[in-house]
Amino acid sequence: MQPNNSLDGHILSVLRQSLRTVLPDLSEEQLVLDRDLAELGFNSLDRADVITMTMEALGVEVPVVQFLGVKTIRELTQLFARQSRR
Amino acid sequence: MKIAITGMGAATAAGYGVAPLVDTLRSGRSQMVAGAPLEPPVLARLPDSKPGSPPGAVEVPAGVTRLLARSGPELQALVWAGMEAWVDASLHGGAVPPRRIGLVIAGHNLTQSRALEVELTYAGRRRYVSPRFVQESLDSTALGIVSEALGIRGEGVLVGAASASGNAALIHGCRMIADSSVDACLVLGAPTRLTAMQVQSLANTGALGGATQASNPRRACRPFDEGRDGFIPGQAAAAMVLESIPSAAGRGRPMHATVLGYGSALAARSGLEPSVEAEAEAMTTALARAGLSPGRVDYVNAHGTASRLGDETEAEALRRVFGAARPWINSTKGWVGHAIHAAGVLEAVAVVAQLCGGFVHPNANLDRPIDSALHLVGPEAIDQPITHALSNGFGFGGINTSIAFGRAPRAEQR
Repeated sequence: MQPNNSLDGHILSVLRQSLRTVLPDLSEEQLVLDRDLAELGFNSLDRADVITMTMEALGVEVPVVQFLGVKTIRELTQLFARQSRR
Repeated sequence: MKIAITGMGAATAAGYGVAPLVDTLRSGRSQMVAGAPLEPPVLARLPDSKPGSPPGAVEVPAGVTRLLARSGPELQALVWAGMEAWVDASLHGGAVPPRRIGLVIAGHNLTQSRALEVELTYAGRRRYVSPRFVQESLDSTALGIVSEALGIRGEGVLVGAASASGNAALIHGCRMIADSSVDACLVLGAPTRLTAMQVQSLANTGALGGATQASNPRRACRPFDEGRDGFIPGQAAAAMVLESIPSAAGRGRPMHATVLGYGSALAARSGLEPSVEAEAEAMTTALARAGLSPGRVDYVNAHGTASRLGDETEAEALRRVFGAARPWINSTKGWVGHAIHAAGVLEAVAVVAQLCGGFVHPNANLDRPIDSALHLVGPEAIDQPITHALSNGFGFGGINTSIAFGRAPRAEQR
């Protein structure tokens, strides 16, 4: 499934870049929307790193507590999209 | 006391590995270059190119490789030197249980340059600082990375004693083995990155050299020469594997050399001035612990920074300890610079290389020796069997250390 507009597309591309900065061995094909971050090899510190990096690149601030239940790339993209639209 | 040295590693301006270091020292090739703005006027720099794997490389866990790829050259050099020593000591075969191997890293305040960068970069937008920063900003992060890279599970600690950190770490490693906490111990000298203000502050004290020779950097570092104008920093990491004699013998591991004794003495002085008494005390204690009379020492690797007062003070301490004995004296810092926290380990590697190779390396730019009573090596290496050697290391805080080394018994040499 593809993102439904250009904002989501932009967020996804920034997020994928952060994901690959933290785990450079991952291929672009592995970073599909419904993949679980833990299954891809991201531990809790890696996830926090990805989130901070993405917030910086997008220029948004999201309270850490909002990320607690987030498991997949899709959920992360949606959360950043909601914050970016504010 | 007798502790075996079964492995060595180095990453210096001469290149990655012990071999290029020994080649540089033996042939007397200065590694000094002119510094960039905000750097010292002259320095010895780690090679620009990222190192490949050391020979006979260890398989490093993917997590460590990733971390290193995002780390600065200092951490990469540290791990590289550690891996070289690890393989040299054949610890990669699992011959010594991980729980019986210790890790001592020489140095403190290692992260302050990086920490300052991050503090300045994120000052106005601190919400975006990496969650890794808290870990990165602590010295202990190096213990985590090296121990994960090599699978070390014994005691681990950093030892801080300014420019004497390397010797202090070797001494700590010897104690860990002597009290049976571990059977083998990797001692790593960590590269030092000074901040711009530290560089300037050192220049303002008059300790930092190079200002008068910036256009001719290879002539800048002149330990024990009348024309010296201060120490020249040298980026480097160095590594040494210490091991108990029964452990090395039990796994049939030949040794490079042995540690025979050590001495450490505070000067009870808060300023930067060196102390003849405390330097002599450190050397005398090392000799006494090693059961050596001054006459049995063939060679001293001096602290020899090329600072005005430092060299003069050490020369007097050497005269006081050795009198008519006159061992050969040289300074490794003249060729590869002062590695600060790593200096003691780097110079221990240089001492052992000279013990094994039967030579003493030249002194750099020693045109007019400050003291004709001392047996300072001249511009060429001298082939000369060495049985016993001392290596001095002194640090701000009034810290004075000296370590006695011995050639390995013939049957156990590599």
